[in-house]
Amino acid sequence: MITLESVHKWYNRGAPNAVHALDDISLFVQDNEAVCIQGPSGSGKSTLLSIIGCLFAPTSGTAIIHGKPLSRLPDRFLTLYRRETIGFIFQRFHLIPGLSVIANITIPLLPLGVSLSERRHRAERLLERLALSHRKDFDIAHISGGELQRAAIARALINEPPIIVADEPTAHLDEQLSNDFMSIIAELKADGKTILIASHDPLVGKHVAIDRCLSMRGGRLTEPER
Amino acid sequence: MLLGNVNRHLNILDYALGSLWRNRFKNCGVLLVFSLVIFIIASFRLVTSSLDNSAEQVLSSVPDITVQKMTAGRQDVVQRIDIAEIAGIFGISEIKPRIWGYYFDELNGANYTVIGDAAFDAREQLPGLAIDYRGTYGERAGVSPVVVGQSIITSKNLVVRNSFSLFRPDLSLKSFYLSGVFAETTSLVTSDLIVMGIEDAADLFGLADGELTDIIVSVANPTEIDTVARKISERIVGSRVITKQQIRKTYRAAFGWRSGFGLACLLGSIAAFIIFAWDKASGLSEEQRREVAILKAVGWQTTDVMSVRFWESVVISILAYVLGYLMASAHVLVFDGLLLKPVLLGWSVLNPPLSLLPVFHLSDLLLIFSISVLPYLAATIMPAWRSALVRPDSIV
Amino acid sequence: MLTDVWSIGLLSCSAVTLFLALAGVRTGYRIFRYWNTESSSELQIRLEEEVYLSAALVEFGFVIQLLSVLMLVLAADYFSTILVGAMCAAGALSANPFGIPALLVKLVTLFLSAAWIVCHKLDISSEYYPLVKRKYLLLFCILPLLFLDATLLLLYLYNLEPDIITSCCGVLFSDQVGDGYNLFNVLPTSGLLALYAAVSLVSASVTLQLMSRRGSSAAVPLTGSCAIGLWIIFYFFSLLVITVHTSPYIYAMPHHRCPFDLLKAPYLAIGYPLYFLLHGAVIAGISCAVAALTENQRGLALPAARLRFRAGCLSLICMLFFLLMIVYHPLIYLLRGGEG
Repeated sequence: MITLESVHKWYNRGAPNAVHALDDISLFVQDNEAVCIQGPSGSGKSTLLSIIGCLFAPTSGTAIIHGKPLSRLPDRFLTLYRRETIGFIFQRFHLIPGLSVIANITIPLLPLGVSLSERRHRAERLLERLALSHRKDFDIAHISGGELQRAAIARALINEPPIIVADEPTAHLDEQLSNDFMSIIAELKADGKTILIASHDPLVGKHVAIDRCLSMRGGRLTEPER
Repeated sequence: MLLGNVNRHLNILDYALGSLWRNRFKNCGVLLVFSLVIFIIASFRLVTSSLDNSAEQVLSSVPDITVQKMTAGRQDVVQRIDIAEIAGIFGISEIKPRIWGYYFDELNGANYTVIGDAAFDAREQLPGLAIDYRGTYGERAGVSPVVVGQSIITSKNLVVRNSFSLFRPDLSLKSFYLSGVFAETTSLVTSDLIVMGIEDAADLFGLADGELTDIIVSVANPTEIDTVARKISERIVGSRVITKQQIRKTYRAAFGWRSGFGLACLLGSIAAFIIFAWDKASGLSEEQRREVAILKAVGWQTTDVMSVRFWESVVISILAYVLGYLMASAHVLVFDGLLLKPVLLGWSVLNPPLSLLPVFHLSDLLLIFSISVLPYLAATIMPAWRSALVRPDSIV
Repeated sequence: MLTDVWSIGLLSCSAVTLFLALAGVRTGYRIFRYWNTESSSELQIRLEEEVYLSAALVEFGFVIQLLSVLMLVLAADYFSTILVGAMCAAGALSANPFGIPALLVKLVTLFLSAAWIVCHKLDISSEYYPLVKRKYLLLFCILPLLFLDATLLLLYLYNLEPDIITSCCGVLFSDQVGDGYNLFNVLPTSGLLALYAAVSLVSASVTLQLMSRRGSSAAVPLTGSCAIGLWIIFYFFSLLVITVHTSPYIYAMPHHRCPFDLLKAPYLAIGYPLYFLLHGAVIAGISCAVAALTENQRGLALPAARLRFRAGCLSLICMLFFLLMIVYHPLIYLLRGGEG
């Protein structure tokens, strides 16, 4: 489960260009819950997701992810925890150009010392599940938008994390691909994963897989209109 | 745990190789320049070691002990009667008189080294050195036999003729005929050498009867050379006693100094290359920043990203090292050290024709590694760290 | 002989090591001054990142020092062919008063750097970085030694003259009384070997005790500190035994007592595995002791315990193989009927 209490996040605090990105956020997410966070651009959704995704610690407040308090955790341990616990799907997928699909997917396994055969085995299992096996050796520059999306999902799942965090995953996709994406999310939820999605796409917020919708404005959370 | 660590590094190396390939044009530049720097350094060492090796082969025939006389700090003639002073020293197997001087040929401005050997006999080949023996073909009255080096063949126009003359101090001419020529492999020390009978040498230099320049001493047990040398110096007042080992060390010190001096001059280029490498490693393109941010976002630590950069540097430096060394070997083996021979062999009217055969020592490999690869890797540590500082949230 | 190639190589290594150490100390000073584990300010985040930089600098410096020790010995071997009277590396290092001290200081910095790396690995395994200030204090202690190392090296190379008469290993390490060079003949060989056996046994016992955590935890600081001291004594005693006792059997010459010629090809370069095992045993032994000493620090219980056990095992295994190697040649000689 995810517990945030009175979390604040400041950028450049004390400087003329200081930004109060998160203002007294308190949030509780159950295991295996799928939550959608909606809000306009600049509302703090990405910052909230970054804290939940263990990309950085909050300036103040308590953040406990899967039983681990993250508030005062040094960056090194945040990273170690992130690689085991979080699968992050980025808005623009952020796959590395010049590498094949399978190479991109297995990147999170490299620093763990996982052998080549084991890496390929895990990747091929995921590729098969996501119907991407026929593209595994293609350079990511030569695959479609939907295939990129599925490759990004596969990369997020390769370490078998319990929590999936997705930041505006359907922002650059058409309706069909957005529906495909949400179908996969529903499958992951059925697998027992906890899912957080930041999106202003109504298709995401209204999908049957989503248990709860939250709104953000000016760095604050408000309850949903569902 | 150890296996896990090894696997981790292998995985990161795998990634680093892919990264190098993706940026191959940028990395090629660094590789080529680095190879060139190592080529120059390795060439210096290989030429030095081959000269050292050639000298070593030739110096095997140098006498165990050479005794000379000094007066007012300058070399003076030794009297033949001094031989009797040292004949009783235990351990000496043979004592020979010798005349060794320099003849200045005004016609072509060259200095010849003249050795008068008591054992010289044109009817048989001189032992110890490779000689193209020509026998007593030019023998006639008043003409003395000599064995000469390669450069003298050229300077005295002895390709077509068999005899030549040199001036005595009173300007009368002394004639010689060729009974042999020193082989090219010994050119390092025989190129300007003329060997003749001791009486002929005394005649050429106008030395009085019984006057010598050196006394040559052979010692039965090589480990006793220093002891015998010390005893000789005690018995002959004002003598300078030189052992074979001292000559060998002097040659080695001279070549070592020249090689080191050349290298010291190259240090500027090495430093320039290090600064160039630092600069290249420091610049991060937008794409590279994004790549680092992605890696960190998916769970790579700062140390993992630093390892990628480190392995990239290791691969480039090892490749450059191997390439540079191979080019240096080809430079010395195939092109005879063309670029460096004038620096290390020095200036002379009579330059010895010499083929270089490099000797490869593991210690040399380590030495070149330490002055090229290690500074390069050290210079890339800070840029590698800086490049790994990109925040993962920068792509969110 | 500063312009000799070997001199340039050695001085180059020293310069690089000093540069790395100075950069590391600059980072260390900032960390020492401003570090606050409780803070999540930008400065603290920056300092946490700088920890990686200083670690990389020290680790690479350690590798260079290791190579530099080897290079100094190889260089000394080369210098022996130019210096009059020096028969091998030992003679060349004794050509002036700076050679042997330069080598010893290098070895000390090597061990201190290894200890720093162990401290660092332990420190970063805890979220609280409990050893951060102590490890940078250690780094501040290493820096002046590196300066001393570079200075001694420079003085040694500068004062080498090709025509200086020097002593050779046969004279330096001989067992003749009253020749003025009996640095290592303060004890008869049998007494030396008995003392060495005792030191080895005690070092191994203390390490075993640290590994198994027998005895009260209050005794750990004393035991750990003793272990470090014992391993250092074991190291220098080992060099002594190799030189005075083992090497003549390897060279098959009773008066050839040199610890450096073992690295040469005619002796199958037996020195490399021998010294690798010796240094491995000592560094692992010191690591075990460091782990035991720091185990009670916040967050280090598990990682220190793991390191303590593994390093202890490694040190004992290396020590065993090392001891087997140094007794092998004398034993074979005696079994074949040689005189003692």
